[in-house]
Amino acid sequence: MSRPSAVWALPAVAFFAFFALLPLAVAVGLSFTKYNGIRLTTPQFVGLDNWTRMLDDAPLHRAVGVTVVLIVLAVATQVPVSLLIGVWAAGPQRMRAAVTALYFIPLLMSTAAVAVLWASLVDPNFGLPAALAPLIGPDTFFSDLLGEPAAALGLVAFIYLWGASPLHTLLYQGGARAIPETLYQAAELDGAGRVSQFFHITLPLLKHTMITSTILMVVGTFTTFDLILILTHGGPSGATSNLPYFMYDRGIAALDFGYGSAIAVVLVVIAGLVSWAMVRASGYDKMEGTQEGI
Amino acid sequence: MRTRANWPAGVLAGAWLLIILVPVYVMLRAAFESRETYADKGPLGLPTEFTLDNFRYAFEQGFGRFLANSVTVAVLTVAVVLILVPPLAFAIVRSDSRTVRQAFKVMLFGLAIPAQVVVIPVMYLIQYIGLYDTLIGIALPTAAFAIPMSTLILTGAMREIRGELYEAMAMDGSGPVRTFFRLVLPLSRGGIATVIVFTALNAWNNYLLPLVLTRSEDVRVATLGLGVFQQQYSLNIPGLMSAILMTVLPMLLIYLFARRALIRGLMGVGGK
Amino acid sequence: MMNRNLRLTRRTVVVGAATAAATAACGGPAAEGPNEDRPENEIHVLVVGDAAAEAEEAAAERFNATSDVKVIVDRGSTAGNEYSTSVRNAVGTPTAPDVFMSWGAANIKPLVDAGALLALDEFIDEDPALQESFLPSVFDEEVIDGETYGIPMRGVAPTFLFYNKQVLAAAGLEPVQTWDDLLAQSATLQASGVTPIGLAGTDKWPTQMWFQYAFARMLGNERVAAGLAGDGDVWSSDESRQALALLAELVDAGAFGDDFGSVAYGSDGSAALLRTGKSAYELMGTWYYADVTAGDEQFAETTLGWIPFPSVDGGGGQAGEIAGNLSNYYNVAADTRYPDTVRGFLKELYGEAFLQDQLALGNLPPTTDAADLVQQQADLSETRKTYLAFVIGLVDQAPTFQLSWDQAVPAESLTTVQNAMADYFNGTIDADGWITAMQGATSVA
Repeated sequence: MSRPSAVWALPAVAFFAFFALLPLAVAVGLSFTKYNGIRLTTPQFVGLDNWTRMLDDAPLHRAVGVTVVLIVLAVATQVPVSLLIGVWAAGPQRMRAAVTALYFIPLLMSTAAVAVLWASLVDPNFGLPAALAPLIGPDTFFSDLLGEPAAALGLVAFIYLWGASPLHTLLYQGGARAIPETLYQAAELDGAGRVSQFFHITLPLLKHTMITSTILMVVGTFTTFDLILILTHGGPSGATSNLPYFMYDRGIAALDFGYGSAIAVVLVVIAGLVSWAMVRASGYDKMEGTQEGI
Repeated sequence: MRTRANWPAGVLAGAWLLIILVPVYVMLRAAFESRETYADKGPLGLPTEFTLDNFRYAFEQGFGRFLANSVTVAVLTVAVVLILVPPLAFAIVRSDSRTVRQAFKVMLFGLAIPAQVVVIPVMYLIQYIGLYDTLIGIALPTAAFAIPMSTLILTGAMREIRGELYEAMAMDGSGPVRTFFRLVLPLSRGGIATVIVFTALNAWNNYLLPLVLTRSEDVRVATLGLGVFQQQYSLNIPGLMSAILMTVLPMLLIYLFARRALIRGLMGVGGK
Repeated sequence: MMNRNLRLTRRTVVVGAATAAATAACGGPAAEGPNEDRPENEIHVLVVGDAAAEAEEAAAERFNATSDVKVIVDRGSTAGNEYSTSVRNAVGTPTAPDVFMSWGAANIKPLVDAGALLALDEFIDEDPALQESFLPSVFDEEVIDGETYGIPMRGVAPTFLFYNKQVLAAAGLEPVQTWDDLLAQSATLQASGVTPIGLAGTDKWPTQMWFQYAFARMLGNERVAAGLAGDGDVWSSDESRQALALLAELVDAGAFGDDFGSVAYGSDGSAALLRTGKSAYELMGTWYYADVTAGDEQFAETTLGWIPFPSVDGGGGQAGEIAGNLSNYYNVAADTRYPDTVRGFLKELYGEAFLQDQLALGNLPPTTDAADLVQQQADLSETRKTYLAFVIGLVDQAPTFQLSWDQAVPAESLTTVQNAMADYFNGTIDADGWITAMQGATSVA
């Protein structure tokens, strides 16, 4: 029989358990304690205090809302942009190769750089708002991007789009390249137009890519907060404080590691459930190849 | 591939390129300027000065060493992931054992473990096994946190492999080892390429784990080395930008060099 | 200064894992006596890993020339908050630093309570210069319950008002002396198209500086200190409401412009305003000199001005009270393996070579001889010397020097305090909301 035994899975699972699950178990344990993060002090067991505290912590609930909005914005913007550009980049022209290399650059920048660059660009006096003022007039929506709650949240989503879409573009580009040319040729013989080809051939055959890429996006947006921390500090007035930032702000920076751990556990569980639901809904875990039967 | 020009897509791609490149321009221009010139011109000015002083200073501060360390960590991390994950993905996709298939669910829940939350227990583990302040000590946990996503990507690629190919291997009398090396690995090139990119980027941009797991200058990585352009209360923007440029360039060169292989890899099975 | 830093790097969010087992393994809560598991013949000094670490590295090199036990300087995070977290999590392990930095009493209080810090009084008995070399107002910050835990190092950084001479001259104005001047000039300056006061409102700490001075002038720093220590009546007092009203008046008058919420300090947003003549004033710390001139001494000479924060008519504060950042302090781990080496190394902190390196980096050493030292420096411009002399005078003559509020409250309240300042300025909360927030934040202690 050519099927692998459980031994094949063991090294990776054991490795992952040691470096990730074991520490996570510690975090779960700490979520039932009051602990200031100093190793020389002992965490005090406080039962479910941290967990019940979450129930009526209004800023926490707001942070959940911000998290959801950011994820929705991320998926709604990153999927179309990455998909369209990825499919375009899969074309044969040489120029496209050069262009895709440029697309790649934001991926390689550390958050520190991204935050400083964008803070400079949205500066009302010296950045793009000032440069565009002759065209769009002064004191527009764009002149106080970090000062207005909705604008700041939109800006964060936009910078995520800028920073993360190159990876997804790359995935879609690879996926689109893999689609056999013969399918398009056949479709053209049938008189199908470009749009029709896109929806009937390209899109269905990119299903796997889309699921992988979307899970990456959702989970990435769930857990990321570096940019928020450096660029907006969760502000203005909490408008960009998502769950991980909130966990940092109220849990870790405030030396309340018990509460921080409880929020972290919630984060892991929610993100895990969402990923699982996406995988189930798409049938990804059972699915045979998308090109089955071609 | 279609050969007709696709104008709407081209326009979109061009517009997006502009959005990508504006910040890149700001970075490039600033990197070759003195602090004084940058202060004079602001972020959006035209280039008026060309100096390599920022780079010279960074290298004097040991930035070359930090870059080499980052490369080492990225390579080690990718190596660990490539050793561990393909067998796991193979087992998840093909094993009869229900338990093994459950490993997939565990990995799904591992996707969102915030490294920030577990970093201190990880530090104790690394100290315990005597790898504190070493490059491999950074690479091992970095690899561990890349495993869930890598597994997800790779199982996806392996599910693309058609059942009849496995049956053909079985009929030839191949065991799992032979099937793995002769069939599964070659046909999951796409997934493997994706995993390499994803893992290498994670390792390259990692800040938190190296910060907590090392302290010596000998093992400092580039993301930590950016500090040479900071002051406790302020910041040398051109200096920082030159350092960022130095962290971007090696990966960009690798990408350009490996681009064909990468895209071909990402094409997966269909690209034969 | 924990949150004062540019948050440029990925923030560490750390949850400690001091499980009971781990704690038991290192022999109980307090680390007492030398830990023999620490590396042999070396002590590790963990510093904030920014450009200023060069001075500490040079000090270690000088020291190591004559010492068998070597001092190794490790560069930690450049972000204060992250730096403090990594220290807290490391203490008690064999790889914890022997010497590390802090920002004031509230910052180290949890470590003192955990028995992680060595009281330095014996060091001082043997080497009184460890105390006598430093300005008492700075030195006393890390004396807790009569025991000394920190020796000042790096620069003293009060905040005061900077201005652009040419902008004021063009508008026919003299530098402000009172709060009323500030309001009056605000209208004139706006009329001539200038933002009266630059404010990096995206970061919350520059906003906090305005509260610190409004309250110092209106209530006096002593009452402020009482409020920060938990006396909630201070925040709800009439004088407190008057101070809040003054601030609201200034904001509403457009003194900070309309878009201060989008101006960030780290991307040069506010300093560039003053530099280019688009703003007239900015309240900032000593380090602003380097940021606003960006190395152009000519600008400092012709354009940059600095004055103490204006007075407030009828305020309860004394003249000359100041606020800002006192200094950084070196703390010593209770379980260091080589206390004598540590003591020897700390001598470097008041040695002339180290102090000169600090000056070269733009840090003003918190030592009593700083004024003389500044005048002796051949490579400092005259303008720079005048500037440093002004700062020294400001600190010397100040009856009180209030540490930045977010540093003076327990770490639990740090972000609450910062948020209250920003929320009041952008109108999310009113005076009552602010008072409630401050009472909540300061009652934690």
